[in-house]
Formats: sequence, C-alpha cells, structure tokens
Amino acid sequence: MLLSLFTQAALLPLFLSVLLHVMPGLTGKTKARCYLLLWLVPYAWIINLPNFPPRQAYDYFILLVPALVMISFLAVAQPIKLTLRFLALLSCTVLMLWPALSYDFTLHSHGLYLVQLVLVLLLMILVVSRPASEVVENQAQKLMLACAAFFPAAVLALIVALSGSMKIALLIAALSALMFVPALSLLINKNKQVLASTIYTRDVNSILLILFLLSFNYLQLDKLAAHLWLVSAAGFMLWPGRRSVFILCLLLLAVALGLVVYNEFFIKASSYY
Amino acid sequence: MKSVRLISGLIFTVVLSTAVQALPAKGTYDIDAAHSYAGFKVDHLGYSKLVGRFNDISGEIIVKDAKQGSLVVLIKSASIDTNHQKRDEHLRSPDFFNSKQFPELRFTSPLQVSKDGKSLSGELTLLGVKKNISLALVEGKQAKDPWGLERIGYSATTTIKRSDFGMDYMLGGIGDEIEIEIFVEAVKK
Repeated sequence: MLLSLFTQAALLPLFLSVLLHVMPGLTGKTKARCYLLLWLVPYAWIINLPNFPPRQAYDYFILLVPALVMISFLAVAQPIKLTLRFLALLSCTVLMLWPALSYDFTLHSHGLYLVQLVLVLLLMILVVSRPASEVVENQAQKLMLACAAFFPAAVLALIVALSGSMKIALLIAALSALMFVPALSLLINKNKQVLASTIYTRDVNSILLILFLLSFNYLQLDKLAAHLWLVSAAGFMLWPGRRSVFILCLLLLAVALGLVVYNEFFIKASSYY
Repeated sequence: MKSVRLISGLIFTVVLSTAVQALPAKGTYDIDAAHSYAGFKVDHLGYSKLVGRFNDISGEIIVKDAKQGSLVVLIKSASIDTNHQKRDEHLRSPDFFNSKQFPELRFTSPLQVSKDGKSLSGELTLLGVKKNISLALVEGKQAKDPWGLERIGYSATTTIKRSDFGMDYMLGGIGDEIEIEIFVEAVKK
C-alpha cells in the first residue's frame, strides 16, 4: 500500500513531467501550458476516477483543469484570457465549497471561512495575473525560484496528511512532484540569465490554492498553521525571486509544519490506527 | 372432528400470517434516540473487526393502516464514534464520510415488510448515492411502557459494500463489506 501511495504522489507525476519535458516537437510554451493536464493522471488514480456529473468537491477538478488549459491556448487578448481564467477558478471554487459553506450557515460560525475565501480569491487574481515569464539574474535567484515552485505544495501535503485526509494530501503531493522537473531544469541551466516560464506555476499555484481551501473547509486543519502557510505561499507565489521574502516564507512554512507536527505527535499523541 | 381441525388450522394460519405481517398500531412514532443504536463492524487489515457507532440518530415511523406506512431514519455522519479521536476525524474527512459535504445518512422505507416479517427493504443514501438495501428484521415488543407511552422496538441487520456508495478509499486495508446493526425504539406521538 505504501508503494502505491508513493507511486501516486511522487513517481507517476515525476515520470510524466520528465516525459513531457523530453517530448520532441512541442515548444516550451506549449509544454508549460499542458503541465497541469499531467496532474489529471495521478488525480484520477488517487480518487479512483472522478464522478460525472461531479458529486464530491474534488470531482470538479476534472472540469476545471481542462478549462484552464484550453483558456491558455485561446487566441484572445490577455485581459480577456485573465478574466476567463479567473471566472473558471471562481466558479469551480464556489461549487466545491458551497456544501461546506452553506451547511448550518451563520455569520458567527462561517465568518472566518468567508473572509479567508475572499482573501484567497484575491491572491488568485494576483497569481493568474503574473507575467508568462521572468528574467532570472543569477544562480541564487534560480535556486529560490526552483524552491518556490514546489515547497509550498510539499509542506501543505504534509500538513493535510497529518490533519486527516490522505486523499487530498496525495493530490497536493502529486502537484508538488510535477513541479520538480521544471525546477530542476531551471537549476541546471548553465546560462547566467534565463527566461523562466511561469505559465505552469501560475496554473499549478491556482489549483494549489483551491486545494488549500478544500482542506481548510472540509478538514480540521490547525487554523494558525493554515494561515501561516497561506501567508508563506502568497510570498512564494508573488515574489519568488526576492531573498528576504524567500527566507521569511521558508521560516513561516517551517513554523506551520512544526505546529502541526507538535500538535499531532506531542499534544494529541494519538497512536497509529 | 375433521372439519373442526380444518377450520382451527385455517384460523391459526390466518392469525399467524396476519401477526407477522402486521405493522405497529396506526399513528406516528418518533425514534427514541436515547434507546436506539446504529453501529457497524468492518474488517481491519484481516486481523479482526473494527467496531464503531453513530451517536446521533433520529427519524420517524408513520403507520397509516395495517399494511401501509413509511419509515425515515436520519443519522448524522459527523457523529461517528470508533473510540479513537484521530481515526474519527479521518472518517469525517473526504476520504470516507465527507461529513461537511454529506452531513446525513438517510434510510427510507415504505414499510413493506416481507410476508414472513423477517426483512425490510428500503433506500439508503450515503455520500449522495442512493441504493436499495434489505435488512433482516426482528420485531421487538409493541406495548405501553412504564411511563404510559406507546413504544415499539425493532432490531435489524444488514451488510453493505461501501464501494457501492463511492466510499472506496483504502479498500486494501479496510474492508469493503460493512456489517450494520441497528436497534430502534420509537414512541408514539
């Protein structure tokens, strides 16, 4: 069973991203746009094929991911693309979260969730608005960009696994594993200055934010740890190449993970079941 | 003599078959949560069975006449209790019962008990999926209790496959077949 979990969350996404990376005949831009489609393979395996029409919250990804990829290929002006991208993300987010937000709704009990939803949606707007590529000046920046690509997802996967859902944790881990090859490719590029494509990180980060919202609304995540992660992820997603931001966000991630580990293994100290 | 025996036999058969088919007396009965239980057993890695229960059960039985009625049983999925907090949290997560999206398990039945009175069919809704199931039924007492309330009692068992309802996580380690046991008491309104 452990081998199966490891294959779903790490080996398969890694293999697929290597395959896409070496595939001849596709431009770098096309590859970057198709990256998110690769995630659908481990996604389908982890959840044993999504229901159609969608029934569980995570079933909506089977509609959202192809929609985002198709929007990337549309030959329309950038503002229109941005709007379409955000509308697709917004509608799927609302559909996924509606059952949790609407059940026994009172402002007192659900206020925090609503505020957080608004904040994450604002962050999503900023994430999808990022330029398609950016100039990387030096090796240190390359390293920061590479780490920023998969650290937030990797840590969130651990937090969610410890907080009670292996399924969602595996989905997040698969997303993180997908980022490893582009990150590695950026690192081993010997050119001092490279034009790093951020198309794939833009789409992957949007999905990551939705998975965070799913986890926060459907599981019992430690609230402080969750918000520390969110602040850290925002820093990584919006300013991945800045050293001070990078160090601060790394610290926040470590604290968030440390909090959850401490709660699970020292406070609750619950045995394996 | 022969005709007396024949008539007695006929009367006995009619009474007996009427007795096992009979529903409770006409009226509406509220399930008494304090004296009802909904529990389950599931295989754990082949070692033994894991036992759990749901602590929040409610519903009502409506009997219109001797052969017509309806039954609704509602169980809050978040009330699952397997005597292990961490496991219960996991069971409430999207991996299993997804309690925030599907807060209730629902069993409804038109109260058409089988001719021998030993089984009851109905529809179980779990994770938004509806399936017809059959429960082996044992009728308990139907009488006034010490507090003057008209009380009825039943016990029922069945086995379902959780994968039929879309609950297919960790099928390798946790069994697919779930043995369900229900003890219900209901009080006439």
